[in-house]
Amino acid sequence: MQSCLARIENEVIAIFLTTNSTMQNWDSYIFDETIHFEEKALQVFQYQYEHNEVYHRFCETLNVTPGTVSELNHIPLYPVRGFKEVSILTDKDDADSDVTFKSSGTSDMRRSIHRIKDPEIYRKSILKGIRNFYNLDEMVIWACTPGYNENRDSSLIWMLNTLIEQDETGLSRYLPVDEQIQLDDVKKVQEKGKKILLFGAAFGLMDYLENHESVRLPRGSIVMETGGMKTHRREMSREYMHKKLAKGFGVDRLQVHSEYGMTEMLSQAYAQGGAWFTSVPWLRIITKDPAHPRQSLDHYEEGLLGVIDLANVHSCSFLLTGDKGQTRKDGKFQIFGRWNPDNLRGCNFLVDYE
Amino acid sequence: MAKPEDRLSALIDSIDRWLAKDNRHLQRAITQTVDNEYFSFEDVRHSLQVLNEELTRENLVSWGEKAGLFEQEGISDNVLCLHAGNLPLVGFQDALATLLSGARYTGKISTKDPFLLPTFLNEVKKTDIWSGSDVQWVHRLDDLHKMLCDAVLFAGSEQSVPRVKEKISNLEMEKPGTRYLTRTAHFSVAYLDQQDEETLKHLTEGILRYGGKGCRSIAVVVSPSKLDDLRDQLEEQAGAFWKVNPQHETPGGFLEYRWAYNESVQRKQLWLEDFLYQEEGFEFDHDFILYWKQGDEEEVAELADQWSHQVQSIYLPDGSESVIPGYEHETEPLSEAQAPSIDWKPDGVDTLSWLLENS
Repeated sequence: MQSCLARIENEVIAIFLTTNSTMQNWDSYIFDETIHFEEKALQVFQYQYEHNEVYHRFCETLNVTPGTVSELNHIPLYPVRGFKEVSILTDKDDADSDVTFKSSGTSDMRRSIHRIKDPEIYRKSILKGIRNFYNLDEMVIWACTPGYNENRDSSLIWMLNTLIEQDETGLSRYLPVDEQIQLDDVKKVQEKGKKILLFGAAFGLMDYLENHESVRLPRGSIVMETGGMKTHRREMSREYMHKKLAKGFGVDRLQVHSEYGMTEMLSQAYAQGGAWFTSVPWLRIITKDPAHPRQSLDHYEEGLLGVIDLANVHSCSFLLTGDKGQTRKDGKFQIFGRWNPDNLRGCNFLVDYE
Repeated sequence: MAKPEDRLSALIDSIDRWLAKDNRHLQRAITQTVDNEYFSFEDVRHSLQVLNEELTRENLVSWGEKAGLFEQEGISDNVLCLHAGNLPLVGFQDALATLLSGARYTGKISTKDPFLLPTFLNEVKKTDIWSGSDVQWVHRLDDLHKMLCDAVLFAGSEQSVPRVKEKISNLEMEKPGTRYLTRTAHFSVAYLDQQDEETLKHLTEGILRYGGKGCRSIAVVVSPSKLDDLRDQLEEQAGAFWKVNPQHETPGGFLEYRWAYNESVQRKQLWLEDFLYQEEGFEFDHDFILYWKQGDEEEVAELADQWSHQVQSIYLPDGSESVIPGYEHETEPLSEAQAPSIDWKPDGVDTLSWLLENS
């Protein structure tokens, strides 16, 4: 009787997996907001469990199978460092894209490599995602990304190219690092009745302000910092940096926003004038206990940020980052920087603990 | 101020009384430490045994001579020792060096090891040389508010050092010229060019003693052999070690996670339930993991250069003739990984010399 039931169960799973593995329209499915996030995530999990051999080995070692997963919290999150060590691709045989994203890094640092099977998914994720937060039709995109420009495989540059190309006015562009923003250029944007959405890595924008005169962007413009606050040159609080950016670009403090993204993710989250980020609908951020990464933490508990990014359907959607943060009930989250383990080998006098 | 020779003799008397088998205070402290689950009985016993063997007149005189102790009267500084104990009595050497130097000892006893060290300090206070104001300690740093200190000794991570200094400053304990001896090394490396049973036994002790938590604990092994070549022997040695020294603290679920991750990237590893040995993939973000790298002496030197301030000691098997380029005079015998001599130098600095020379 038992073996009969097991056979039926296996057949049901097999039928499902056949359907799942042959799904050709993942891009429509994952962005379909009429389907619950949980339902889509479980589908993607089954697909990746079956077709991503790296993730499969990971789950198998943890004794996790589609049969043992009935809710999101059961899905193991794969450490993002995996992107530095192996090729993480679902349906490897089917991969014919030549788009590969690489994180920036010095020569002695291993870089994350994210192979993209279907760049259209990323394009859709970028454009559909940002439209959840901003009316692109009213905006001109400017980008100030020194350093990143040299990394031809940067996913951030790919995103900015996508945003610049979608603007039909021709006013969207990269700002040359060594050139002052001209008032005439600002005027041209104003004359078109548009605002500026100025993207830039935190240190790039700060460098710009250090080397050039302050400017006043058109009313309603947004300065969007994309992270990278800690560099070899300086380390500063986010609050302080936002204040400086607001002053330097002539916008209100609340018009300085942040974007959260990484090479290993194809979706973004945005913080619109505060510390709390809101994810696009096909991205969910959760927190995990660093000592027990399979255990989810409650809202407002500080832990490792976990990512469920459905746009990663062809690589791995379930990721454990090295970032520290917290979530709240409405799905928003905050980032507190990198997780620094305190209690390592060797004696460590900790002020808070001792 | 008492002569250095007299201080040394008084300390030896204190140590003898402290380590005497009928010292009920120490026995009680051991019981409290074990009952409160700070450390296992086996680890406390090991730590005391090592001190018992090392704290001889001969060894202390030798340390004093090397440090120039007998060439001067001593120092009258107030030395603050911040003890952070990942293992039992880890701050003992700092306290002893301070007392030998002639300085006044002010200690912040470790929250993780609150009972053991005070039993020694109480014995010191019974002597004619040190009064209550010369040897004092607290369990909360805040209780030392405005207690000005000339020197501060402590160990910490590179991230924690600035915060400790800030705290000392905020508590108004700093004065112009207060000097700090900070140690940031947090793991050790062994070069394994021999595979006999005794060597593997020493290696296992070096890895697993205190749950691998000491800065002298071996976190990295470099060997001409692959991990797979010694898998069975290492597993057997770990089993034998734990039979006598059950691991006090067990790792959280992260270790299983790391194991699964290693499987996913097809990394060679040895899963020991409470410990994980893995080939390369260095990420010093968690305890309970030993990293194995196939390589020669050059490889050891390269890694030590790369991790510079993080590496505490480099060990060679007893009798090994290997030479680590650039570290010819800095290697230690593998058998002493968890049994350091009393004059060993944390982060390469002799604490007693530092106190005497920098006063």
